[in-house]
Amino acid sequence: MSLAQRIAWLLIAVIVTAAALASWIVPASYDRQFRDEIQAPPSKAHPLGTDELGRDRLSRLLHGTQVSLLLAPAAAFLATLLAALAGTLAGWRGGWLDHALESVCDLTMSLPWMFLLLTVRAALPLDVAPMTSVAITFFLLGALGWAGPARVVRAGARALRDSDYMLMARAQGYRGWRLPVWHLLPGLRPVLTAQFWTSVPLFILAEANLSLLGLGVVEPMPSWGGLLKEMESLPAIGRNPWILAPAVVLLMTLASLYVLMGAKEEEA
Amino acid sequence: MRTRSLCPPPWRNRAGDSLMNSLLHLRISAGYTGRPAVLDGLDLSIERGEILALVGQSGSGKSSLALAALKLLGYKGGWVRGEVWFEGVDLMKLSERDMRCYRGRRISLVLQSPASSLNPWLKLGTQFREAWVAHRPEEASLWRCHAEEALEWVDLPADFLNRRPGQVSLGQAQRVLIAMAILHKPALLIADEPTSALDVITQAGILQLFARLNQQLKTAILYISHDLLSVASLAHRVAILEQGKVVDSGGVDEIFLYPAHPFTRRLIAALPNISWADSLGGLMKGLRVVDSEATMENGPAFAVKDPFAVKDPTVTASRPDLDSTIGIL
Repeated sequence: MSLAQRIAWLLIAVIVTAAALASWIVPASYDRQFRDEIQAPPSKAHPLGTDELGRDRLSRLLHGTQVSLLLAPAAAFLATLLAALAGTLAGWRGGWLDHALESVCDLTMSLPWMFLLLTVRAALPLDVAPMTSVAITFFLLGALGWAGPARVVRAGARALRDSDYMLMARAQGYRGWRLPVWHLLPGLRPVLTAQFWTSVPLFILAEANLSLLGLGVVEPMPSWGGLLKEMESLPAIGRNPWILAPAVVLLMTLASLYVLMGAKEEEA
Repeated sequence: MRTRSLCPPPWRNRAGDSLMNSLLHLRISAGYTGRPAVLDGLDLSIERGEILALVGQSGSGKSSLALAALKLLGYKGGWVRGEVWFEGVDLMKLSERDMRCYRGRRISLVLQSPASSLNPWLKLGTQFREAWVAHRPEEASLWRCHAEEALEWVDLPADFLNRRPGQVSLGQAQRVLIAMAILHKPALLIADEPTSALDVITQAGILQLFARLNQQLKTAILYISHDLLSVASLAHRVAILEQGKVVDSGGVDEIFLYPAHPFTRRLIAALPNISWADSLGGLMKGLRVVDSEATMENGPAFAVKDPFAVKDPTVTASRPDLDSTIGIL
């Protein structure tokens, strides 16, 4: 394992552990307001200071990390699941189903991803409870992010469908759903795993973008995108450089994921 | 709960035509879309308990014939037209659903590449179980017992069921495929160049295995190969395929000692050493029982005895180096 991979693992471990132990590290809830300490600089009680509503920034960062780190893999799982269903069915059956899926994928992928995300999110109710906003963001990312992975899965399913071992399975008289389920799907596991891990950083960024624009996770629930809003004013960054902390954590997480994914690809 | 049998009881003669009384009778043309026909009006039959070797050059349509007989050529982008009579039923008229009842149960297939024919993601036991359940869902719990019996036939231990394809050698993988092929004790086993990927010692073992299966299980074997020596040692009858047609067929002695068709003569002449070919001819003469019925009765020569122990006045050459010759062929 290279030095970069070790550092990447260490960073991911630290970030995940800190997010998991958020309530223990910072006892203050992410929405508790310290009215006497509005926009306070870092101190022993508030290591990253407080925001304009007097809420502890570290608490919000750690709880926001929890939300973003759970939301992105969950959305990636949903997108991979949809891609597996659509791609396997199209690759396995071929014919009009395959052509239909190809057309839908082409159409979905020809639209700019962020534009599509913003349009669909804007069409949905915006004035919702924080947990509902999390659920909407999760479903939106998953439901709109399946097209790219589905094309890859479809190509894999087609290749496996024409393989010698599938021919042997047919020659043995396999019938019905057992052929695709028992023989095809296990062979697609590496493709699906790769698609899942490729989607995670994409969805982290997508969630951050949505929340930054006020279309993702809503206040007072924190997420990385929501926390990045504080960086909108350049003079504010100069005065309070610690508000860069969410951006630094986001960058470290993405960089670490890409380093680890690159290593995985090299192994494959 | 009683499970409905998935297959009708189809193995009865539905016609009295003599053509349909063979175990398998093919009258087909086949090919691939956009290319000339690979099999052009091919007419071939195989009797019950017989080992028929199909010999031809690479690209002559041998493998296409194997797939066409099972109506699997469509999965490789091909087409088949004609009649495939098996146990009195024209398989070409069967639906895909009914056809599945024959595949693996009455007709089995062994492909030439054992490494790619086993699903690398599944344990061998799982693959045996699926092959069993495909035809005997009502006896699903008995799969292990039958899988172990099939493995015993091919001289492999029962613990192979816990292995994955990546954990067995090529020769073992071919034995596993043969074990899966005989799981339901089929009437016909189609072996498409089953020894071409194997070393000579493993080849010899596989040929002995085929001979034993034929003798003891009475399974007819359509042995597809371009390896003349293995054909000579295993088959009861040989059919020569050239440009999609059977141009010559007959008993092994007839084909090897008195080749009639020019293409058959070219095949025999392609043996690397003429004195060697003489030796082989003498050998065949000494070893083979000329009466084909008697041959069928006694089983193939391969399983009978060491050919070089046979005293025959026509064999004048010293014992040839079989291993290197198989390699050259």
